[in-house]
Amino acid sequence: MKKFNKIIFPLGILFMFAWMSCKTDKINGIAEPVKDITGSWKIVKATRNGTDLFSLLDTNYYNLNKFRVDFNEGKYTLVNPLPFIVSENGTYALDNPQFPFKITFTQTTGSTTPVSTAFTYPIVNGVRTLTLVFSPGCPENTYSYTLVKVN
Amino acid sequence: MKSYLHIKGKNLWKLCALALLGIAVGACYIRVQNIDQPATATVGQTITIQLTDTVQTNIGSNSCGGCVVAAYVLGILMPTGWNAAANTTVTYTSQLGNGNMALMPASTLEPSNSVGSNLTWTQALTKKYGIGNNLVNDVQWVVFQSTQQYTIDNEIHINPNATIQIKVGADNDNTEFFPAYFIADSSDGLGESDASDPEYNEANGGCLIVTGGSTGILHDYCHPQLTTVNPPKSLSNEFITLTYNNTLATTALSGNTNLYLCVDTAYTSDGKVLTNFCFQTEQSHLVQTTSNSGLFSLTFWPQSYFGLTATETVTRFVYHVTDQTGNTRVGYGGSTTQPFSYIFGCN
Repeated sequence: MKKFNKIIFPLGILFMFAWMSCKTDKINGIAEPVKDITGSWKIVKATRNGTDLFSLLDTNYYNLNKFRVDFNEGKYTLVNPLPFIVSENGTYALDNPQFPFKITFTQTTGSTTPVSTAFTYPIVNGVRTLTLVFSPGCPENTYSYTLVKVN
Repeated sequence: MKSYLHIKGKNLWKLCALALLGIAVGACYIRVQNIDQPATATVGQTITIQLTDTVQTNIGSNSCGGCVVAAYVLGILMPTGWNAAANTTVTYTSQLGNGNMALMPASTLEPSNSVGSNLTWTQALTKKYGIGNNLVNDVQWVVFQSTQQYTIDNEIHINPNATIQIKVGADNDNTEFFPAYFIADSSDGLGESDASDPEYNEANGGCLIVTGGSTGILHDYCHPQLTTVNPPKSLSNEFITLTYNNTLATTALSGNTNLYLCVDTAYTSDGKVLTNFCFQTEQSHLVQTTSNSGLFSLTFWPQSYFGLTATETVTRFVYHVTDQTGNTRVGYGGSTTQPFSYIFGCN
């Protein structure tokens, strides 16, 4: 009994304090923002099968700088069209608004079969970029357009 | 006492090198000795190609009773439109045994990593040998391996024969190209002991001419062409780059550096015949790729060039290359009357 008083009891008190001193903080996770691509986007880099298209094209006739894809409230509009995932205006959707891996375009005229492509949305040099990889014609020919939002 | 000595294939060359220092020995190598391949074929025909090979290992008296356990590997370079993976059968005979070859699983990696890490066999062969002797990048390496593995002793000299049977022209196009062949063992891959005498080998066949196609398309990857289109296979809804080689032959346009694309006629999928696209403006101007290259190119989007709607497509167009006046014209084979022709398609 003496042993209990001298050693175990103080130790028990000590552990109790130690336990009480630990408080579980509730972690307030910051929610991943919804990827909002609303706005007008222009091409800053374009390749066909890895070859730069800017240096190949006569800008008087195929001005990559003038191409725009405008995203607004689930709809997209093409301005100064180029070979692209879709040829006509329509609707778009991301597979997941917070963590999108895929963007789907659906033309409202012509072929209305939805067309999906991988969605990469990195920040490059402080600027949010949108890279779309697709094949407008033969599946062996791969195009990559990197777009930035027009201010 | 049972020996646990196990020498990996990639060590063969080390033993060879050691042996060369002290013991008089020969070399270890794998080599294509002979290619028996037809020069012509007809679309739909199944042709037979015979390869005679040599596999030699000679690393002195160190008999380990089985140094390498490996499968024979065979790669063939064929047109992409032929779907050679599905239309080819390969059998072999050798002193070690006879058997069949099966398609190398697409996920199997080339083991040596000598041309790059984590490459599949097809990727590794493409990286090392490209498109062989072909002029256009529209051929692909298809790789097979024997369904059985063999133990290759330290001292062997064998002559495996591979028999390749391929049904040609799955795309129904006429084709002229240079087949190429690659042999190795599945253990060493592209690993090499001696660059001049490696344990793998690639060899190029002569130009194989396939006729009888019904599409009217000719893919000629053997002979330089006055005009080429890149990508070689495309549809009208993508950029195509048309290049005219003004140094290849003496033509009415030789020496002229101000050249234009003159489309005589374009045909749409819904039966329209488009004319009035022979003009000499900046839009049709073929620009020299680099100074004095003699190559003049124009990249254009046919959909836009021919003023089509989003639902229309062009299936083919025939054209000449002209000078600035449009009066001097060059067509197929340098002819002033017969036009060049380009047919859109993916196969």
